[in-house]
Amino acid sequence: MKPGIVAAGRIVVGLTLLISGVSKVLEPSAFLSAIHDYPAAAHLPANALAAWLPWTEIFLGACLAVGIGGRGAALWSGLLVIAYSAVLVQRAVASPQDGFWLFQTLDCGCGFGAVRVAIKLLENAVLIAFCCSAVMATDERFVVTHDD
Amino acid sequence: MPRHTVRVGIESLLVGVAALLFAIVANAVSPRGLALSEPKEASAVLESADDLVRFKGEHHAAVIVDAQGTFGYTGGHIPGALCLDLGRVDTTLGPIMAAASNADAVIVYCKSSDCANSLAAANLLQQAHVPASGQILLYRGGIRDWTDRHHPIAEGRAP
Repeated sequence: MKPGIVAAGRIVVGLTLLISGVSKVLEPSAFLSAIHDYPAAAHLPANALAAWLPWTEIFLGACLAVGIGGRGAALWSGLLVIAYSAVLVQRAVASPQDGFWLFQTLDCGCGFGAVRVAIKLLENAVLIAFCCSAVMATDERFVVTHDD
Repeated sequence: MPRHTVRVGIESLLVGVAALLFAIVANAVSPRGLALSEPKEASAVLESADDLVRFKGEHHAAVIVDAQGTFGYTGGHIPGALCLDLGRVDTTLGPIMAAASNADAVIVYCKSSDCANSLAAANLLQQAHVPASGQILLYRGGIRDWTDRHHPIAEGRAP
């Protein structure tokens, strides 16, 4: 893949994480409330997650956007998006809403309001693809830690 | 192991540690930072919908507060309950303070016994001295228990 496309994808993921993280940091109680909408929250330290996850997103987003530690940040970002997709699917399947779970609309708590599950999963797939390309990047022009 | 994989692994470790440290420090210094543990238990608890109905029958001036958040509230709430959105306290606390000005009790609930919002809301109300005189109770069963026992619910933004 061309280095310019890899860099563009990395920046898109970075900006997405920055926007998502900032929106959660501005209303942390609302994010805590949104976490409790997910069945997986019963098995997780919800308060700690609500306290640290938004700032982690901001840090990783900044790293991706400016290209510092981009590959490491891309790896963690990809894992975050994969985990989020998994709990989103779990929530959609368990939702009492009528209709097929893939076409339900939920307030995801991700900083972008109510979303249709299918669209959100598609977006996440694109982000994961961008993260994978960024992790595998070796071109010296767009990474700070160089491969000798 | 390929050199690239090793470098990515080392970079990931460094970035991961740095991200976690940043998150811990940022949350600690942020004025909007959250506590890491669940709030303490409220002083009194109503376990079931029957307990709530009985208590409300004995305390007509009691105010019921829904802590599900705006989205959960509009989807279904106990009739007459007021919405306290923890993400929009500046707009949702005022009506509750007005309604509870002569209340002898405030009952807080959220989705179910697994939801910590009601504890956070109870602590918030306590700090705001709501009610001025009276007690704050926690309806532990939440809207899930209320609907499981076939009590009516109200939808939309109106109490």
